[in-house]
Amino acid sequence: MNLGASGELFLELGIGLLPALVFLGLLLLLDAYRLLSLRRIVMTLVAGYLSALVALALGRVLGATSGYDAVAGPLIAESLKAVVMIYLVRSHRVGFPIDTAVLGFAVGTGYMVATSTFGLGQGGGGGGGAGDWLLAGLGGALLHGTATALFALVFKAIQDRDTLPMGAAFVPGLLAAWGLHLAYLHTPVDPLLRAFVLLLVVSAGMPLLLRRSETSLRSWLHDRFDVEAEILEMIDTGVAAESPLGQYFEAVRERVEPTVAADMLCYLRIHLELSISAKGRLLLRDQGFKPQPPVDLEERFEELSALEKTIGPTGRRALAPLLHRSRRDLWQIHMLEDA
Amino acid sequence: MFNTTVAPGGDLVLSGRLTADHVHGFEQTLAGVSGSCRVDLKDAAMISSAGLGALLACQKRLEDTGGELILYRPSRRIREVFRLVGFSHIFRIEDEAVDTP
Repeated sequence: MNLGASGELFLELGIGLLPALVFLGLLLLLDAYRLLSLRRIVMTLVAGYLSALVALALGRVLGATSGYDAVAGPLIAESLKAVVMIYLVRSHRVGFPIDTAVLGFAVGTGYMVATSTFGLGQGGGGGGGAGDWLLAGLGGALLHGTATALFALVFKAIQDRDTLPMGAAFVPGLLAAWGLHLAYLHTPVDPLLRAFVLLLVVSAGMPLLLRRSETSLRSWLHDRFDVEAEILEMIDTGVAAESPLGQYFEAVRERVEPTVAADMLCYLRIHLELSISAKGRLLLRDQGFKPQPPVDLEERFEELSALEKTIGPTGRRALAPLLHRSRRDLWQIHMLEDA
Repeated sequence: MFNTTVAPGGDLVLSGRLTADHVHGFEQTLAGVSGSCRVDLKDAAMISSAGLGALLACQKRLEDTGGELILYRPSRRIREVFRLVGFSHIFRIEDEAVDTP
C-alpha cells in the first residue's frame, strides 16, 4: 500500500514514539498512589516539546560551530529539559521519587516528539523500515526520558536535603544527565545493543526507585497525618491551652491583635483540613478506592489565600512550627488542586 | 490504651486510641470478619492513619464478597476526620437511633 510521503512520515513518527509512550504508560501504572493527574503529565509533555523547539532553534544558530552536535548539543538539550524539571521541583509539583521520575520521563518524551517531528520532517521520511523507526524511537525516547528523570531525581534529592545552595543544586544532576547522554551517543556499539542495555539498566533501577518512593511516602503520610489530626482535635476540643501547642499558641496570641489571632487559628484549621484531605486521598488510593473530587475546594483555597494576606508573613512564620510546611506538605496542596 | 471486643449483637466495639502501635492486632481482628459487620466507635477516642488504612483494607475485602463494614456511632471528632479523608463515600456511617416519643 502506498501511503505517500506524509502518510509514511506519520507512520514513522507513530512507530518511533510508541516505545516512549508505552514506557511512560508503564511508569504511570507503577504509580499506585496516582500522584499525578493526566493534566499535569500532558502539560509536562508539552513543556518538553517546547524545550526541544528552543533546542532546535539554538541548533540552527550554533550548528555550524565545530563540535556542537557531539558535545555542546547534548548539554543544551539536557539543560533545556532540566529547566522544566527545576520549575516543577521548585514549585512543589513533585513530592516523591516516582512522580519525579514520571514527569522527568514525560519531559524527555515531549522533547523526543518534537525532535522526531522536525527531524523526520526535514529528512523527508528518511527511508528505512518499521524496525529502524522503532529502534530510533526506542533509543531516543529512552535516552531523553532517562537522562531527564536522572537529572530530576538528583536535583530533587539535593533540594530535599538542602545540601547545596540553589545556584549549585542543579549542577550534579545536569552533569549526570549530560554524562549519560554523551556516553550513550559516543559508545561505539550497535545502536540496538545500546538501546537494549539502557532499557535493561532502567528496568533494573525501577523496582529500587519504586521501593524507595513507597517507603518515604508511607512514612511521611502516616507520621504527618496523625500529628495533623491531633492538632485539629486540639483546636476543636479547646484543650489546646493546657498542651504544649496551646501554650505556644497562647504566647503567639499575646503578641498580635485579637482579630489576627482569630485569623491565624482559622488559617491553621483550613490548612490542616486541606492537608488531611490530601493525605486521605492517598490512603484511599493505596487501598484501591477512587477518591471523590473534593468539595468546596476552590472556596477553601480562596479563604486560605485571603487569610494568608491578613495574618501576613509574621503570622505565617509564627505558625510554621505547627504547619510543618515542608516541600512535601506544599506538594500535597498542589496535588489537591489538580484533583 | 486500645481495646477491641465483640458485643453480644456481633458488633465489633473499639475503645481508646487506635494508634499505629495497636494496628497490627486490630488488623488481625479484622481479618476474622466476614460478611457485613458493624464497628461501634462510641468509645473510640482517636483512629490513626494506620487504623484508617486497616478499615479501608477490610472494607475492600468485604466488598469483594458482597459484605461491608458499617461505622457506628463515631464521635464528632472522628466523624470530622472521616469526612476530611472521604470515608463517607466508602463506608456507611450510622448514628445511634433516636427514640421517638
